[in-house]
Amino acid sequence: MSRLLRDELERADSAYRGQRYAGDLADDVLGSAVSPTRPSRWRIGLLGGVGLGMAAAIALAFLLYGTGPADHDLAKTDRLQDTVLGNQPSAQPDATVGIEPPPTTGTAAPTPPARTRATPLVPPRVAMDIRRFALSRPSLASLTRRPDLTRSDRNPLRLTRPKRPPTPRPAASPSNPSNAPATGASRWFDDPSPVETS
Amino acid sequence: MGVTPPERAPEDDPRLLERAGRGDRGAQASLIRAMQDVWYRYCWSMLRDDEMARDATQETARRFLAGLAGFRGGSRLRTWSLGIATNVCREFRRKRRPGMAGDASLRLVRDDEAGPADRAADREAHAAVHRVVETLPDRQREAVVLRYFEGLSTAETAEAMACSPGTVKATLSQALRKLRGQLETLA
Repeated sequence: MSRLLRDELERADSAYRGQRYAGDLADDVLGSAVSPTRPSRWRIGLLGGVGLGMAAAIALAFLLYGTGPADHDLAKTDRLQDTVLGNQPSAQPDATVGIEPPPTTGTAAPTPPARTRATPLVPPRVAMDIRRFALSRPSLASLTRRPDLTRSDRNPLRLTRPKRPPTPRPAASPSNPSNAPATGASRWFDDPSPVETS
Repeated sequence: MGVTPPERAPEDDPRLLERAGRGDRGAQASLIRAMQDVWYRYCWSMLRDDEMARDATQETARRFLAGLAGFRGGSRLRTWSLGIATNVCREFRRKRRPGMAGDASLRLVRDDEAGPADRAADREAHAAVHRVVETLPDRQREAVVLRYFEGLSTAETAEAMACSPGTVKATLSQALRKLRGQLETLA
């Protein structure tokens, strides 16, 4: 290698070694693409969208249900109660026909407490009238639709006079006037026939 | 009086290499900071464009990190990483648009604040580097920079260039012959 060429290479080498990477390559590489902990743009956008959706849902709930969750519970309870009571028949059940309701004087149901946030589940509109509770109705609705059942079968709590099977009645004779058919208000349970003993 | 062992370069520390290979971010950052100027000036001499050299340096660092766990220590880390940089620069040269000149953006990045005298020295040094690396074909430039500027041996240069040592010797011989002829013409 000639001296001229060697000198040229030495000068070029010193200039070559004077070059520097401007900045910190470790930050450029480890802090961006290689770093797995740094969230990407699409991940930030996705989380932001979910957050906005949740905030919108909460705001919508406040707009629809008023001031707070207590009123929301009350409104929901009232609607449910109206739905249940609305399914009851408007007419009174058979068993309560002719039965006087118990006296309410002195035993009246207490006035439901005022609606407050502390008692959100107290039903405020329930009238404590026993006729509204339909105690005589059968528990199974399907029982009422069976045509083979008698009325008392359908309604086991019905407060009516029990039926007795008709007893064979001997033919009327002058020696036994009791065999004559009853007339007027005299009926079988008013005048029971004598029991024959052998 | 104890003898202080010579300070070891970060890239030659096997424990640092092991930690970096296991994914230790601190060790990886230390290795990258130790190698960033080596990669940058090599990429700059190959691409002759500041922005491309910077991009190629970052790509070299990414591939270096990706392959660090598989590095078995069969060669020096410097040689192995310069082989990565060689491949990256070849890819960048292939992707470079035809007619895109690197000469316009040729300038040296210096640590110190460059005054008028420094700028004149830079121009002279730049001209020297330019004379050496600019006029040579890509393969000859690679061989000259790796062998004479980076100080690799012929075998290491061959490993970095992914060729045989005989090819490196032949390539270097052709490059020096060409440079000598150009210098004699200038003189």
